[in-house]
Amino acid sequence: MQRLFMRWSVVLSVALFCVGNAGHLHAKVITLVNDVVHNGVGSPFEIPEKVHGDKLVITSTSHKAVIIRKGSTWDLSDLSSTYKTIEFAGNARLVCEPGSRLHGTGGVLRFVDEARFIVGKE
Amino acid sequence: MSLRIKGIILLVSTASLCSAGRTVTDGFQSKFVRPSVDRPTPDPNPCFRFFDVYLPDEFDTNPEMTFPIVYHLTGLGGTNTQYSMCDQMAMDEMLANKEVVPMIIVAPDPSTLNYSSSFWTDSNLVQDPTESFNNMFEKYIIDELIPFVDAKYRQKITADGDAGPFRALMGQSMGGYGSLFFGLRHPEMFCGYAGDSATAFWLLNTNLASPPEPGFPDGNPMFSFSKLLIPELSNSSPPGRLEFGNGDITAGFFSQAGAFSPIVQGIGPSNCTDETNACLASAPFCLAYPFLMADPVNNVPQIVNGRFVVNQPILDVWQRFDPFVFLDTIDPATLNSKAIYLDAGDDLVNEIVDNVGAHYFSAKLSSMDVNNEFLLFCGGHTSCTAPPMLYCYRFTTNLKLFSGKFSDAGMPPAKTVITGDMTIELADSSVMSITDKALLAIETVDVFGVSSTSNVTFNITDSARLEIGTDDILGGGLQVGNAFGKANLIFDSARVDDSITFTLNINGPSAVLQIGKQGYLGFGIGVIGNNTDVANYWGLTSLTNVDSVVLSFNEGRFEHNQIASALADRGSLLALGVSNAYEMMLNPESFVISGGANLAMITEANRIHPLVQDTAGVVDPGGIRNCIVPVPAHEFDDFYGPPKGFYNSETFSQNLLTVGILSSSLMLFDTDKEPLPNPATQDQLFTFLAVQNYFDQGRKRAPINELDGQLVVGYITPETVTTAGVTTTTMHINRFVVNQDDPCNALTNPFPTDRILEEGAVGIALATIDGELQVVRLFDLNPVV
Repeated sequence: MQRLFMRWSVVLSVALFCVGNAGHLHAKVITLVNDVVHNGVGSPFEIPEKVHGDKLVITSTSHKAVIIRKGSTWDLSDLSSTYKTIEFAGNARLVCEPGSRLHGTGGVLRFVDEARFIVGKE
Repeated sequence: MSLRIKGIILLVSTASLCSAGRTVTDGFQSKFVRPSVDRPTPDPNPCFRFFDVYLPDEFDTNPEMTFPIVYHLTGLGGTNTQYSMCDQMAMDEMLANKEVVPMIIVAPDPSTLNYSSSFWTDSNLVQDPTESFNNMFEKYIIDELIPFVDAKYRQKITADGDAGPFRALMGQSMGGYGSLFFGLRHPEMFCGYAGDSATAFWLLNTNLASPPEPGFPDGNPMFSFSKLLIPELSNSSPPGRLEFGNGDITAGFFSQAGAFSPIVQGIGPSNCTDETNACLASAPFCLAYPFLMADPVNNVPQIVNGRFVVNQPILDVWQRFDPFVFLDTIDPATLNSKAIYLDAGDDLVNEIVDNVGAHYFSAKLSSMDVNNEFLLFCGGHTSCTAPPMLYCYRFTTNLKLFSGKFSDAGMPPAKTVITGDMTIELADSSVMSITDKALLAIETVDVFGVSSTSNVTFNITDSARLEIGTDDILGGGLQVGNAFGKANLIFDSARVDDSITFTLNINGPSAVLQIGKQGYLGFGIGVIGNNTDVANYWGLTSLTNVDSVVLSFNEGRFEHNQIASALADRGSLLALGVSNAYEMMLNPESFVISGGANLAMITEANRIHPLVQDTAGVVDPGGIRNCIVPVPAHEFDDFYGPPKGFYNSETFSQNLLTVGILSSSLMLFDTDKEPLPNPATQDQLFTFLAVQNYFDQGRKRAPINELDGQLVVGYITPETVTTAGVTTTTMHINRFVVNQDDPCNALTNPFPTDRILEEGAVGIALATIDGELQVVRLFDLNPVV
């Protein structure tokens, strides 16, 4: 199990547990057990090196979400050079609140299983 | 601030049987202004300065409710009662139609004893030496009236106790000046300012717009005065004297002089004998003028070569009161948090100064990158301000704008943005939902002076869904294009090269794109003012920089089954705007377009104010909204020369129009139909989605062509005839011309909605303006609910 490092743009006293390589052959996997709140500019996830392929999987069994707050930008270009695809799987959710922004430079934001991409407030 | 002001509600007026609100006249004794000149009957207190208050029904029925408050400032010569009846009628109607949130309107009295009106400023002029009252109208409004109203009429505040996000100003002419004056001098107190034909611009900007003259290469600082006041000098007796009764312009000028440059060192004509000032013969006080006097005792100005001669010190004093100058002192970010609206008529006789003033004021705001709305309508200075013109009552524009702002107060910005290059893939049973009035915009990165591109692709496969509004959660919008206007593009020319490409692929056996209740999907057309409580009331405007839109529907469904008027909860909209190319590919064997709902093709539009949108489910053919006509650029240029600033003449040539409705029970692709060209043009795509599919359902469509220059309604009525035992049904196409001759005179030919529906029409089509803008409106008698 490889521990991931997080940049503390994650706020509001939520705990994040990151578990790597949970069965995906070519993917890094993060299992959300709490909401991850991104407040700022950059990425809520900092991955030090490309080890398991070109995909980062964010999954949840309990509808937990990555929340991009008002005024915040999730800069996906930080990740696209290392992980081309960020995949929300299971019941994971991405919530982009009004006033937030996603910026990319060619990456793929993929939703599979029962994952949800919510624009607005959850 | 503790004020011990004694107030009383005096009378109930203008309540109608069907109206929800009521209007009261209230008042108190002011420390800063003398009692009102016009007195109500009965007069409760000879010391009171009065104001009128419109109270929505909720004020009485819900004692716990607090309210946004709009201050409606009257123009020259008006009092607190001038707009009371119309304000109540307009508010009651708009509240009934859910077009605005409940709000209170307060109308103060600006009248003065001797020089007509106050221009809403603090003046040291003592009107009546027997009284201690002065003319401190700014202090009266800011320090007395607003606190009094806040406390008595339950002014809404934020959680932090801030009333500013729920307080706004509006007014016409001098009232518009007051609106901008207070708004810019006290920006923390107000969230919106509306200047309708605002007389704010006598000085700097109007004079700068004057034709170049010898000695005045940058404009003649006496241009406005010379043009407007000198002709009225001939009305005095003997001619040549500047007297109050010379005319309306002169009366207004005296009010401004009393407000801006009174002579306070003593009272009486004996102090007014030099060339820098003069006296109003009928009043016991003196006024200083911004031009020199040839005979100050007899109030005769100096005129050289047909122009007044500048009295620079006094002109400098006047410019301290010019909102155009105030703009230089305010942080644009502060202004960008406000709802700022200006309008003016295209009448180049009685509206010329305010027309140019609003134009320049708006241009200056735009040059500061401050959002603002400027509406040029066909009409004059007082158009649509009084009965029986309620159908085009100008102030409804302001109230709708403010309503959106009030709804936004305390809320975060309402737009989520995607920029740069990105692919969003929805697979399996995943769902992307844009609901609850959320708005997702595909734009480019906004960096001044730098061009940027965005290439965004949505892939929907398997059983995944993209939901823009649902049956359960109303609202939500997805739009493609940059939401800044041409003025910004002119200001930041690098942005002209910005490019947005958008691709939507639907390719899955159960993949769905759904525009649900009050949902909005727009390509090149986007939402402004998306903060009203009802998403259907969102205003639309052209977006920029959309280079291509690719819609690839190979397998799945496009559900757009909200057949309803825009007023109904079920209303929704698909809007196709300007793009260099549309490309649509559809596999008829495996892809279904189901339902059918509101669809609009909108060619190039200038910024569209919420007023312009069709919110009521019926096209309101009257009103200021449809008074918008292009002003030939040459008329403007001939008079002023090319306008300066960042708006150019083309701005005045834009037609404005908005949504229409298409509905059909089922739109299935017909393999016999000619394939859509690839890439399709905007018009071909629109036709494909709209007219052909409707036609293929066995119904006829109403004519939408051959209608240049008119707003024509065509509607279809079925007729069943039984002859010799054989029953046949035929379709009759009826036509009705709305506003054929006078786009401002709706009452002569109102839109025949009731008549059409009563006759059982199955379709209505509209076309208007110039043949390029087409609005299709088809009602389905058997809507999918």
